[in-house]
Amino acid sequence: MDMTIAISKGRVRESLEPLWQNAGWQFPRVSDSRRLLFPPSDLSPGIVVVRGSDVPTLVESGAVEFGIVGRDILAEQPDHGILEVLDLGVSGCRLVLAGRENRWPEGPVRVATKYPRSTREFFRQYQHPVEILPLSGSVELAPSIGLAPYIVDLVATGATLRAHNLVEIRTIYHSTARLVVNAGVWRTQSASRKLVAQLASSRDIAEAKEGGVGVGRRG
Amino acid sequence: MIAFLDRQKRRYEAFAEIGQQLLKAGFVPIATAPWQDGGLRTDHTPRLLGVAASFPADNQLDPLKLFSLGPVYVPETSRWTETIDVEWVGSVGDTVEGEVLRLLDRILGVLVSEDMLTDPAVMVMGNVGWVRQLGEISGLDSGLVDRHITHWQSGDLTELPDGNWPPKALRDYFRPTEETAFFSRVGPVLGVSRKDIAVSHARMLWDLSMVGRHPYYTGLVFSVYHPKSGAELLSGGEFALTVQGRRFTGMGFVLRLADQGGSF
Repeated sequence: MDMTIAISKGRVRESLEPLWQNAGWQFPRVSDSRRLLFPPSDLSPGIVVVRGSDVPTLVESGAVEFGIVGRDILAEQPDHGILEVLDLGVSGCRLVLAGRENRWPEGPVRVATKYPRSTREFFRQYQHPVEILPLSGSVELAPSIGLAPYIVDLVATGATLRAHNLVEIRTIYHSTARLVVNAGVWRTQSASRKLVAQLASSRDIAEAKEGGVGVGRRG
Repeated sequence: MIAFLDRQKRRYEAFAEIGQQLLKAGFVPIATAPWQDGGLRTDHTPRLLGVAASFPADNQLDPLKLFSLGPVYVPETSRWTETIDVEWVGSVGDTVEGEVLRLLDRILGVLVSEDMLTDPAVMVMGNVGWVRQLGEISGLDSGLVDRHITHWQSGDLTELPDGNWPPKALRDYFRPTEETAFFSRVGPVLGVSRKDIAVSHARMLWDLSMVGRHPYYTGLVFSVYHPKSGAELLSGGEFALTVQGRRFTGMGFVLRLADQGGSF
Protein backbone atom coordinates (compact mmCIF):
# COMPACT_ATOMS: atom_id res chain seq x y z
CA MET A 1 0.00 0.00 0.00
CA ASP A 2 1.85 3.06 -1.22
CA MET A 3 -0.74 5.71 -0.38
CA THR A 4 -0.66 8.01 2.61
CA ILE A 5 -3.67 9.58 4.33
CA ALA A 6 -3.54 12.80 6.38
CA ILE A 7 -5.91 12.58 9.32
CA SER A 8 -6.89 15.23 11.79
CA LYS A 9 -6.27 15.05 15.48
CA GLY A 10 -9.20 14.42 17.80
CA ARG A 11 -12.58 12.86 17.12
CA VAL A 12 -12.01 12.05 13.48
CA ARG A 13 -8.91 10.02 14.30
CA GLU A 14 -10.67 8.17 17.14
CA SER A 15 -13.55 7.06 14.95
CA LEU A 16 -11.39 5.60 12.19
CA GLU A 17 -10.16 2.46 13.92
CA PRO A 18 -13.30 0.36 13.15
CA LEU A 19 -13.10 1.38 9.49
CA TRP A 20 -9.49 0.19 9.35
CA GLN A 21 -10.45 -3.12 10.99
CA ASN A 22 -13.31 -3.72 8.52
CA ALA A 23 -10.91 -3.04 5.65
CA GLY A 24 -8.54 -5.69 7.04
CA TRP A 25 -5.96 -3.09 7.95
CA GLN A 26 -4.29 -2.39 11.26
CA PHE A 27 -4.65 1.14 12.53
CA PRO A 28 -1.25 2.42 13.73
CA ARG A 29 -1.02 3.09 17.46
CA VAL A 30 -1.14 6.82 16.98
CA SER A 31 -2.57 7.60 20.42
CA ASP A 32 0.24 5.78 22.27
CA SER A 33 2.89 7.77 20.54
CA ARG A 34 4.11 11.28 19.91
CA ARG A 35 4.89 10.29 16.34
CA LEU A 36 2.96 12.12 13.65
CA LEU A 37 4.16 10.12 10.63
CA PHE A 38 3.42 6.42 10.08
CA PRO A 39 4.76 5.27 6.68
CA PRO A 40 2.68 2.97 4.45
CA SER A 41 3.10 -0.74 5.18
CA ASP A 42 1.48 -4.05 4.22
CA LEU A 43 -0.85 -3.56 7.19
CA SER A 44 -2.11 -0.04 6.55
CA PRO A 45 -1.91 2.95 4.25
CA GLY A 46 0.52 5.54 5.62
CA ILE A 47 -0.85 8.03 8.11
CA VAL A 48 0.15 11.59 8.84
CA VAL A 49 -1.46 13.22 11.87
CA VAL A 50 -2.03 16.94 11.39
CA ARG A 51 -4.44 19.72 12.30
CA GLY A 52 -7.75 19.32 10.48
CA SER A 53 -7.45 22.72 8.83
CA ASP A 54 -4.12 21.65 7.29
CA VAL A 55 -5.46 18.47 5.67
CA PRO A 56 -6.74 20.14 2.45
CA THR A 57 -3.39 21.91 1.94
CA LEU A 58 -1.40 18.68 2.32
CA VAL A 59 -3.66 16.85 -0.14
CA GLU A 60 -3.76 19.66 -2.68
CA SER A 61 0.01 20.05 -2.66
CA GLY A 62 0.50 16.32 -3.32
CA ALA A 63 2.45 15.84 -0.06
CA VAL A 64 -0.06 13.07 0.70
CA GLU A 65 -2.52 11.36 -1.63
CA PHE A 66 -5.55 11.34 0.69
CA GLY A 67 -6.98 13.16 3.66
CA ILE A 68 -9.78 12.53 6.13
CA VAL A 69 -11.35 15.70 7.40
CA GLY A 70 -14.70 17.01 8.67
CA ARG A 71 -17.13 18.56 6.22
CA ASP A 72 -17.08 21.68 8.42
CA ILE A 73 -13.44 22.27 7.53
CA LEU A 74 -14.03 21.67 3.82
CA ALA A 75 -16.92 24.14 3.90
CA GLU A 76 -14.59 26.75 5.36
CA GLN A 77 -11.86 26.08 2.82
CA PRO A 78 -13.42 25.62 -0.63
CA ASP A 79 -11.54 26.03 -3.95
CA HIS A 80 -8.67 23.82 -2.88
CA GLY A 81 -8.71 21.78 -6.06
CA ILE A 82 -9.07 18.56 -4.09
CA LEU A 83 -11.87 16.02 -4.60
CA GLU A 84 -14.26 14.82 -1.91
CA VAL A 85 -14.85 11.18 -2.81
CA LEU A 86 -16.44 9.45 0.17
CA ASP A 87 -18.61 10.32 3.13
CA LEU A 88 -17.22 8.02 5.83
CA GLY A 89 -20.30 8.49 7.99
CA VAL A 90 -18.29 8.84 11.22
CA SER A 91 -17.63 11.75 13.57
CA GLY A 92 -21.14 13.08 13.00
CA CYS A 93 -21.94 16.51 14.38
CA ARG A 94 -23.91 19.62 13.41
CA LEU A 95 -23.02 23.24 12.83
CA VAL A 96 -25.69 25.23 14.66
CA LEU A 97 -26.75 28.76 15.40
CA ALA A 98 -27.24 29.06 19.16
CA GLY A 99 -28.21 31.78 21.62
CA ARG A 100 -29.76 32.36 25.02
CA GLU A 101 -33.30 31.69 23.75
CA ASN A 102 -34.70 29.67 20.89
CA ARG A 103 -35.60 32.78 18.90
CA TRP A 104 -34.45 33.93 15.47
CA PRO A 105 -32.45 37.17 15.86
CA GLU A 106 -34.28 40.40 15.17
CA GLY A 107 -32.43 42.97 13.08
CA PRO A 108 -28.68 43.08 12.42
CA VAL A 109 -26.93 40.46 14.50
CA ARG A 110 -23.42 39.86 15.86
CA VAL A 111 -22.29 36.23 15.84
CA ALA A 112 -19.13 34.75 17.35
CA THR A 113 -17.76 31.76 15.46
CA LYS A 114 -14.83 29.68 14.27
CA TYR A 115 -16.74 29.24 10.99
CA PRO A 116 -16.98 32.71 9.41
CA ARG A 117 -17.54 31.53 5.83
CA SER A 118 -20.35 29.09 6.69
CA THR A 119 -21.94 31.68 8.99
CA ARG A 120 -21.81 34.43 6.38
CA GLU A 121 -23.26 32.07 3.75
CA PHE A 122 -26.06 30.96 6.12
CA PHE A 123 -27.19 34.51 6.90
CA ARG A 124 -26.79 35.52 3.25
CA GLN A 125 -29.36 32.86 2.31
CA TYR A 126 -31.80 34.54 4.71
CA GLN A 127 -30.72 38.02 3.53
CA HIS A 128 -30.16 38.82 7.20
CA PRO A 129 -27.44 41.38 8.06
CA VAL A 130 -24.69 39.85 10.19
CA GLU A 131 -21.45 40.96 11.81
CA ILE A 132 -19.04 38.10 12.30
CA LEU A 133 -16.79 38.01 15.34
CA PRO A 134 -14.09 35.50 14.45
CA LEU A 135 -12.82 33.44 17.40
CA SER A 136 -10.50 30.43 17.33
CA GLY A 137 -11.89 28.67 20.42
CA SER A 138 -14.18 28.78 23.49
CA VAL A 139 -16.87 30.25 21.27
CA GLU A 140 -19.66 29.26 23.67
CA LEU A 141 -18.33 31.82 26.16
CA ALA A 142 -19.15 34.73 23.86
CA PRO A 143 -22.78 35.35 24.97
CA SER A 144 -21.90 35.06 28.72
CA ILE A 145 -19.13 37.65 28.55
CA GLY A 146 -20.96 40.07 26.26
CA LEU A 147 -18.91 39.50 23.10
CA ALA A 148 -21.84 38.47 20.94
CA PRO A 149 -25.43 37.38 21.71
CA TYR A 150 -25.26 34.47 19.25
CA ILE A 151 -22.73 31.85 18.28
CA VAL A 152 -22.29 29.43 15.39
CA ASP A 153 -20.45 26.32 16.47
CA LEU A 154 -20.17 22.55 16.05
CA VAL A 155 -22.35 20.47 18.33
CA ALA A 156 -22.19 16.72 18.90
CA THR A 157 -24.35 16.09 21.97
CA GLY A 158 -25.27 19.66 22.92
CA ALA A 159 -23.77 19.25 26.43
CA THR A 160 -21.35 22.18 26.04
CA LEU A 161 -24.17 24.46 24.90
CA ARG A 162 -26.33 23.44 27.85
CA ALA A 163 -23.43 24.00 30.25
CA HIS A 164 -23.32 27.60 29.05
CA ASN A 165 -27.10 28.12 29.12
CA LEU A 166 -27.34 28.21 25.35
CA VAL A 167 -29.96 26.62 23.11
CA GLU A 168 -29.90 25.64 19.45
CA ILE A 169 -31.87 27.89 17.13
CA ARG A 170 -31.12 26.40 13.71
CA THR A 171 -29.02 23.59 12.29
CA ILE A 172 -26.89 25.00 9.49
CA TYR A 173 -25.60 21.64 8.25
CA HIS A 174 -24.69 18.14 9.34
CA SER A 175 -21.01 17.32 9.23
CA THR A 176 -19.28 13.95 8.99
CA ALA A 177 -15.72 12.88 8.21
CA ARG A 178 -14.98 12.95 4.48
CA LEU A 179 -12.30 11.21 2.46
CA VAL A 180 -10.61 13.70 0.14
CA VAL A 181 -8.05 12.98 -2.56
CA ASN A 182 -5.61 14.89 -4.72
CA ALA A 183 -7.42 15.37 -8.05
CA GLY A 184 -4.46 14.28 -10.15
CA VAL A 185 -3.89 11.16 -8.07
CA TRP A 186 -7.59 10.20 -8.32
CA ARG A 187 -7.63 10.62 -12.06
CA THR A 188 -4.27 9.08 -12.92
CA GLN A 189 -3.70 6.28 -10.38
CA SER A 190 -6.16 3.41 -10.31
CA ALA A 191 -4.74 2.29 -6.93
CA SER A 192 -6.33 5.41 -5.41
CA ARG A 193 -9.77 4.32 -6.63
CA LYS A 194 -9.23 0.83 -5.19
CA LEU A 195 -8.44 2.34 -1.79
CA VAL A 196 -11.66 4.40 -1.92
CA ALA A 197 -13.68 1.30 -2.86
CA GLN A 198 -12.11 -0.56 0.07
CA LEU A 199 -12.99 2.20 2.54
CA ALA A 200 -16.52 2.45 1.09
CA SER A 201 -17.08 -1.28 1.72
CA SER A 202 -15.62 -0.91 5.18
CA ARG A 203 -18.00 1.97 5.94
CA ASP A 204 -20.96 -0.10 4.68
CA ILE A 205 -19.96 -2.99 6.96
CA ALA A 206 -19.72 -0.60 9.93
CA GLU A 207 -23.15 0.85 9.16
CA ALA A 208 -24.70 -2.58 8.74
CA LYS A 209 -23.35 -3.52 12.18
CA GLU A 210 -24.91 -0.38 13.62
CA GLY A 211 -28.15 -1.14 11.78
CA GLY A 212 -28.46 2.03 9.78
CA VAL A 213 -26.89 4.87 7.91
CA GLY A 214 -24.41 7.06 9.82
CA VAL A 215 -25.44 10.44 11.20
CA GLY A 216 -26.05 12.89 8.42
CA ARG A 217 -24.41 10.70 5.81
CA ARG A 218 -25.42 11.35 2.28
CA GLY A 219 -26.09 8.71 -0.31
CA MET B 1 22.52 25.68 -7.34
CA ILE B 2 23.47 24.74 -10.90
CA ALA B 3 20.53 22.32 -11.06
CA PHE B 4 18.16 25.03 -9.82
CA LEU B 5 19.40 27.57 -12.36
CA ASP B 6 19.27 24.97 -15.11
CA ARG B 7 15.64 24.20 -14.20
CA GLN B 8 14.75 27.90 -14.31
CA LYS B 9 16.47 28.25 -17.69
CA ARG B 10 14.59 25.30 -19.18
CA ARG B 11 11.35 26.62 -17.80
CA TYR B 12 11.98 29.99 -19.46
CA GLU B 13 12.94 28.30 -22.74
CA ALA B 14 9.73 26.28 -22.66
CA PHE B 15 7.74 29.44 -21.95
CA ALA B 16 9.38 31.25 -24.86
CA GLU B 17 8.99 28.28 -27.24
CA ILE B 18 5.30 27.88 -26.38
CA GLY B 19 4.82 31.61 -27.05
CA GLN B 20 6.46 31.14 -30.47
CA GLN B 21 4.22 28.14 -31.25
CA LEU B 22 1.13 30.19 -30.37
CA LEU B 23 2.26 33.12 -32.54
CA LYS B 24 2.88 30.70 -35.43
CA ALA B 25 -0.65 29.30 -34.96
CA GLY B 26 -2.09 32.81 -35.33
CA PHE B 27 -2.78 33.56 -31.65
CA VAL B 28 -2.20 37.14 -30.45
CA PRO B 29 -0.75 37.90 -27.00
CA ILE B 30 -2.89 40.15 -24.78
CA ALA B 31 -1.78 41.34 -21.33
CA THR B 32 -4.32 41.05 -18.51
CA ALA B 33 -4.04 42.94 -15.22
CA PRO B 34 -3.05 40.90 -12.15
CA TRP B 35 -5.58 42.89 -10.08
CA GLN B 36 -9.12 42.57 -11.42
CA ASP B 37 -12.59 43.46 -10.22
CA GLY B 38 -11.41 44.12 -6.67
CA GLY B 39 -9.48 40.85 -6.40
CA LEU B 40 -6.34 39.06 -7.49
CA ARG B 41 -6.29 37.48 -10.95
CA THR B 42 -7.33 33.82 -10.68
CA ASP B 43 -8.28 33.29 -14.32
CA HIS B 44 -7.21 35.10 -17.52
CA THR B 45 -10.30 34.06 -19.51
CA PRO B 46 -12.92 36.66 -18.43
CA ARG B 47 -10.37 39.46 -18.86
CA LEU B 48 -9.31 38.24 -22.31
CA LEU B 49 -12.97 38.22 -23.31
CA GLY B 50 -13.33 41.67 -21.74
CA VAL B 51 -10.73 42.90 -24.23
CA ALA B 52 -12.73 41.28 -27.05
CA ALA B 53 -15.94 42.88 -25.73
CA SER B 54 -14.34 46.33 -25.80
CA PHE B 55 -14.58 46.24 -29.63
CA PRO B 56 -17.95 46.65 -31.38
CA ALA B 57 -19.58 43.36 -32.39
CA ASP B 58 -19.36 44.32 -36.07
CA ASN B 59 -15.61 44.79 -35.73
CA GLN B 60 -14.99 41.35 -34.26
CA LEU B 61 -12.75 38.73 -35.82
CA ASP B 62 -14.22 35.23 -36.03
CA PRO B 63 -12.40 33.27 -34.83
CA LEU B 64 -10.52 35.50 -32.45
CA LYS B 65 -7.39 33.73 -31.24
CA LEU B 66 -5.82 35.18 -28.08
CA PHE B 67 -3.38 34.16 -25.41
CA SER B 68 -2.11 35.68 -22.19
CA LEU B 69 0.95 34.99 -20.07
CA GLY B 70 1.42 35.57 -16.37
CA PRO B 71 0.79 34.15 -12.93
CA VAL B 72 -2.66 33.55 -11.45
CA TYR B 73 -3.47 33.51 -7.75
CA VAL B 74 -4.50 30.18 -6.26
CA PRO B 75 -7.29 31.10 -3.82
CA GLU B 76 -6.89 30.15 -0.14
CA THR B 77 -3.27 29.08 -0.60
CA SER B 78 -1.28 32.35 -0.79
CA ARG B 79 0.37 30.92 -3.92
CA TRP B 80 0.70 32.11 -7.49
CA THR B 81 1.16 29.79 -10.46
CA GLU B 82 2.80 30.82 -13.72
CA THR B 83 0.36 30.23 -16.57
CA ILE B 84 -0.23 30.53 -20.29
CA ASP B 85 -3.91 30.94 -21.13
CA VAL B 86 -5.00 30.20 -24.70
CA GLU B 87 -8.47 31.10 -26.01
CA TRP B 88 -10.11 30.36 -29.34
CA VAL B 89 -13.16 32.64 -29.41
CA GLY B 90 -15.81 31.73 -31.98
CA SER B 91 -18.03 28.82 -32.95
CA VAL B 92 -16.69 25.45 -31.92
CA GLY B 93 -17.23 22.24 -33.87
CA ASP B 94 -15.25 19.08 -34.49
CA THR B 95 -12.71 20.92 -36.68
CA VAL B 96 -11.97 23.57 -34.04
CA GLU B 97 -11.84 20.93 -31.28
CA GLY B 98 -9.30 19.04 -33.36
CA GLU B 99 -7.23 22.16 -34.05
CA VAL B 100 -7.14 23.24 -30.38
CA LEU B 101 -6.21 19.73 -29.23
CA ARG B 102 -3.43 19.50 -31.85
CA LEU B 103 -2.10 22.82 -30.51
CA LEU B 104 -2.28 21.44 -26.97
CA ASP B 105 -0.33 18.40 -28.14
CA ARG B 106 2.37 20.61 -29.67
CA ILE B 107 2.66 22.41 -26.32
CA LEU B 108 3.06 19.09 -24.52
CA GLY B 109 5.70 18.30 -27.15
CA VAL B 110 7.65 21.40 -26.05
CA LEU B 111 7.58 20.13 -22.45
CA VAL B 112 8.91 16.78 -23.70
CA SER B 113 11.68 18.42 -25.70
CA GLU B 114 12.74 20.45 -22.65
CA ASP B 115 12.84 17.22 -20.55
CA MET B 116 10.01 18.48 -18.39
CA LEU B 117 7.86 15.52 -19.32
CA THR B 118 9.72 12.23 -19.63
CA ASP B 119 6.69 9.91 -19.88
CA PRO B 120 3.40 10.47 -21.69
CA ALA B 121 1.08 12.69 -19.65
CA VAL B 122 -2.41 11.52 -18.65
CA MET B 123 -5.23 13.41 -20.32
CA VAL B 124 -8.67 13.02 -18.75
CA MET B 125 -11.62 14.20 -20.80
CA GLY B 126 -15.24 14.82 -19.91
CA ASN B 127 -18.15 16.51 -21.59
CA VAL B 128 -20.67 18.73 -19.81
CA GLY B 129 -22.99 18.51 -22.81
CA TRP B 130 -23.02 14.71 -22.62
CA VAL B 131 -23.88 14.84 -18.91
CA ARG B 132 -26.88 17.06 -19.73
CA GLN B 133 -27.85 14.71 -22.56
CA LEU B 134 -27.66 11.73 -20.20
CA GLY B 135 -29.89 13.61 -17.74
CA GLU B 136 -32.42 14.17 -20.51
CA ILE B 137 -32.33 10.49 -21.52
CA SER B 138 -32.90 9.52 -17.86
CA GLY B 139 -35.88 11.91 -17.68
CA LEU B 140 -34.13 13.92 -14.97
CA ASP B 141 -35.23 17.50 -14.33
CA SER B 142 -32.66 19.89 -15.85
CA GLY B 143 -32.37 21.72 -12.49
CA LEU B 144 -31.25 18.50 -10.84
CA VAL B 145 -28.71 17.87 -13.59
CA ASP B 146 -27.38 21.40 -12.97
CA ARG B 147 -27.12 20.60 -9.25
CA HIS B 148 -25.01 17.55 -10.02
CA ILE B 149 -22.74 19.53 -12.34
CA THR B 150 -22.28 22.31 -9.75
CA HIS B 151 -21.64 19.65 -7.08
CA TRP B 152 -18.86 18.06 -9.16
CA GLN B 153 -17.45 21.46 -10.16
CA SER B 154 -17.01 22.21 -6.45
CA GLY B 155 -14.87 19.06 -6.19
CA ASP B 156 -17.52 16.99 -4.38
CA LEU B 157 -17.90 13.58 -6.02
CA THR B 158 -20.03 12.05 -3.25
CA GLU B 159 -23.61 11.18 -4.08
CA LEU B 160 -26.24 13.88 -3.68
CA PRO B 161 -28.88 12.98 -1.04
CA ASP B 162 -31.84 12.91 -3.41
CA GLY B 163 -29.66 11.71 -6.26
CA ASN B 164 -30.14 8.14 -7.40
CA TRP B 165 -28.37 9.51 -10.43
CA PRO B 166 -26.24 8.94 -12.49
CA PRO B 167 -27.86 5.62 -13.44
CA LYS B 168 -26.22 2.67 -11.65
CA ALA B 169 -25.35 0.98 -14.96
CA LEU B 170 -23.24 3.98 -15.98
CA ARG B 171 -21.68 5.03 -12.67
CA ASP B 172 -18.36 3.39 -13.50
CA TYR B 173 -18.00 5.92 -16.31
CA PHE B 174 -18.15 8.81 -13.86
CA ARG B 175 -14.58 7.95 -12.94
CA PRO B 176 -11.50 7.69 -15.17
CA THR B 177 -11.97 4.93 -17.75
CA GLU B 178 -9.87 3.78 -20.68
CA GLU B 179 -11.11 5.27 -23.94
CA THR B 180 -12.12 2.00 -25.65
CA ALA B 181 -14.15 0.74 -22.69
CA PHE B 182 -15.77 4.17 -22.27
CA PHE B 183 -16.99 4.45 -25.84
CA SER B 184 -18.11 0.84 -26.12
CA ARG B 185 -20.49 1.35 -23.16
CA VAL B 186 -21.37 5.08 -23.13
CA GLY B 187 -21.19 5.61 -26.88
CA PRO B 188 -24.38 3.69 -27.78
CA VAL B 189 -26.34 5.36 -24.93
CA LEU B 190 -25.41 8.87 -26.04
CA GLY B 191 -25.11 8.15 -29.75
CA VAL B 192 -21.50 9.31 -29.81
CA SER B 193 -18.38 7.61 -31.02
CA ARG B 194 -14.70 7.91 -30.29
CA LYS B 195 -13.17 10.93 -31.97
CA ASP B 196 -9.89 10.63 -33.71
CA ILE B 197 -8.10 13.08 -31.45
CA ALA B 198 -4.44 13.33 -32.29
CA VAL B 199 -2.85 13.85 -28.87
CA SER B 200 0.34 11.85 -29.09
CA HIS B 201 2.01 13.03 -25.87
CA ALA B 202 -0.73 11.87 -23.50
CA ARG B 203 -2.59 8.69 -22.62
CA MET B 204 -6.32 9.36 -22.91
CA LEU B 205 -8.94 8.56 -20.26
CA TRP B 206 -12.61 9.59 -20.11
CA ASP B 207 -14.58 10.51 -16.99
CA LEU B 208 -18.06 12.01 -17.06
CA SER B 209 -17.57 13.58 -13.61
CA MET B 210 -14.87 15.74 -15.20
CA VAL B 211 -16.86 18.94 -15.69
CA GLY B 212 -14.12 21.52 -15.05
CA ARG B 213 -13.91 23.96 -12.17
CA HIS B 214 -15.61 26.89 -13.90
CA PRO B 215 -19.35 27.24 -14.44
CA TYR B 216 -18.82 28.51 -18.00
CA TYR B 217 -17.93 25.11 -19.51
CA THR B 218 -20.56 23.77 -21.89
CA GLY B 219 -19.06 20.86 -23.84
CA LEU B 220 -15.72 19.06 -23.98
CA VAL B 221 -13.64 19.56 -20.80
CA PHE B 222 -10.16 18.19 -20.15
CA SER B 223 -7.23 18.15 -17.75
CA VAL B 224 -3.72 16.90 -18.44
CA TYR B 225 -1.78 15.50 -15.49
CA HIS B 226 1.87 14.72 -14.88
CA PRO B 227 2.09 10.90 -15.10
CA LYS B 228 4.14 10.52 -11.91
CA SER B 229 3.22 13.31 -9.48
CA GLY B 230 -0.38 13.71 -10.67
CA ALA B 231 0.16 17.49 -10.78
CA GLU B 232 -2.26 19.19 -13.18
CA LEU B 233 -0.27 20.59 -16.09
CA LEU B 234 -3.07 21.92 -18.20
CA SER B 235 -6.87 22.20 -18.19
CA GLY B 236 -9.56 23.70 -20.33
CA GLY B 237 -12.62 23.12 -22.44
CA GLU B 238 -15.43 24.50 -24.49
CA PHE B 239 -17.11 27.53 -22.93
CA ALA B 240 -19.93 30.07 -23.21
CA LEU B 241 -19.47 33.23 -21.19
CA THR B 242 -21.22 36.58 -21.07
CA VAL B 243 -18.83 39.48 -20.57
CA GLN B 244 -19.98 43.11 -20.57
CA GLY B 245 -23.36 42.04 -21.94
CA ARG B 246 -21.86 40.12 -24.88
CA ARG B 247 -22.03 36.35 -25.14
CA PHE B 248 -18.86 34.60 -26.24
CA THR B 249 -18.41 30.96 -27.10
CA GLY B 250 -15.13 29.22 -27.76
CA MET B 251 -12.58 26.77 -26.52
CA GLY B 252 -9.51 27.41 -24.42
CA PHE B 253 -7.02 26.00 -22.01
CA VAL B 254 -4.52 27.11 -19.43
CA LEU B 255 -1.04 25.65 -18.99
CA ARG B 256 0.29 25.81 -15.43
CA LEU B 257 4.05 26.00 -15.14
CA ALA B 258 4.02 25.18 -11.43
CA ASP B 259 7.06 23.78 -9.68
CA GLN B 260 5.16 20.65 -8.64
CA GLY B 261 6.31 17.09 -8.39
CA GLY B 262 9.72 18.04 -9.68
CA SER B 263 8.22 18.41 -13.15
CA PHE B 264 9.19 22.03 -13.62
